[in-house]
Amino acid sequence: MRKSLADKLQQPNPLSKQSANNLSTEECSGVGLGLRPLHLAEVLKHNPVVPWFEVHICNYLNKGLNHKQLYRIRQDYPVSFHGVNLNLGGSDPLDYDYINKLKSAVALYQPALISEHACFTTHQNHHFHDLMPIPYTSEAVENMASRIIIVQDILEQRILIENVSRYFNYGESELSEGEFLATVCAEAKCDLLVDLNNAYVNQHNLGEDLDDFIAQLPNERIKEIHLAGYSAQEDFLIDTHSASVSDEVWQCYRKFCAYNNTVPCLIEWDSNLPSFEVLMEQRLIAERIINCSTKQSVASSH
Amino acid sequence: MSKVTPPSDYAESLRNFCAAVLKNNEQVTVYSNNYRAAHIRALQNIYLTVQLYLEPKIFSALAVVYVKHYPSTQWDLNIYGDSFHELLAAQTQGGKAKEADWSLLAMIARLEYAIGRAYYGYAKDERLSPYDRTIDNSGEFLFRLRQQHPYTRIAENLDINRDLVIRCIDSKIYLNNVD
Repeated sequence: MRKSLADKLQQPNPLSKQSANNLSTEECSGVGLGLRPLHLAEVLKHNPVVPWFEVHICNYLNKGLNHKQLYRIRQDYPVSFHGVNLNLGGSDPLDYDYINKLKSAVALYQPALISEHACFTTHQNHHFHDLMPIPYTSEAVENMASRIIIVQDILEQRILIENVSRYFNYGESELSEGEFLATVCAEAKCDLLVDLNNAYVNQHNLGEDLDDFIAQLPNERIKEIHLAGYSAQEDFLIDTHSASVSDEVWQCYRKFCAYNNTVPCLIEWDSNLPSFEVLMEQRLIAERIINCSTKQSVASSH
Repeated sequence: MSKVTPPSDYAESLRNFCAAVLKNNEQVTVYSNNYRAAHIRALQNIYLTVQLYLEPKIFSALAVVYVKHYPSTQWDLNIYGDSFHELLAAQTQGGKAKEADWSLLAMIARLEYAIGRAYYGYAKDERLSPYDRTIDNSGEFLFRLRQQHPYTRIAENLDINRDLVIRCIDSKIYLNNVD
């Protein structure tokens, strides 16, 4: 008999294998979910069948009460760290206190992936708490790559950098976003997180072709995909992560999976959070797309 | 360890962009809106109980004023708003002095800020000052603090001392030693 989603939500996680320190040893694969504070207690209580979770690690760096919840979850699930405060594109000095806290968290939680954004967030110690665009110039490549190298040296682990949604283009840019990211990856020997929703928003608002963007990226460096929902303001799209994934972005994901269906994918939903069941439904859609693309690639190979 | 020194032209581009955001320049309206909304949302998330005692438009107006005059100097938005209680207390001298018990609200704000700091791990080595006045309706606002802050129920799924944070609030003492 087919089990209901509610039943599935109450099963122990069959994917869980644990190491000697009681942490899951699985890698991030398949379709994971962004884990937000509203759902921490629910995940602890129901142990839902989810291959992995991504956490906004900035919320856990001081080992507060929430850290105890996350550590319990980490025992059952692989996690990836997603950060917003490395300020990789910034011109302020790197914040070594922050990086060292991140390093401690990496040692404690042993994330399978660590990702950040290809943008700047702070200027002259003014924290804007937003993902702000940078000009795509050779100077910007040098700046970001050198900062990533330092971060990776400290963390002793590669990081992924994510393309951001942009609402402004600098006149001084010399490179496309895809060219910029590819060059930074080559210089810094880092990997990529491709947010298809961001790329779609940029295509819509700035007229930057999404297929061209993907084609400019080194395929072997793409280690994670993000899918999220946007908000529309008249004919302008804002990357709010406050809605389900749009049909257009699902279509982009189908296209990407036809090209590469082995990359872990994440459903990202940050505001106007729905019930956990709605997130699970979004996750299952993505999983079906991966499975469908796998069958098609098998069929075409015979 | 080598420090990264960014090229000056690049830094200038970023500086101009930030200035445009703070001036609400038409070309970067989305970023100006994001900046304001993110900081206001942070205040809303931290000061859940204060909001219950104020009309939404008054809370919003105060939040807008605060965001305009208090730039964030910390990477953690969860601890933005450390001086918000001072803005509330100052209303006793303002045009809305009779709209609320501003001294009470300022004290609640300090407690709410401390709850957030405890949850996010900043309160290990600090103390809250004892309450500085006798509150006739203390039962009501303590009840509301418990209802509004899911952090106070965090112990339900964990092995840590159950209801520790609630007891700290009730005991009118500091929030620390959460381990």
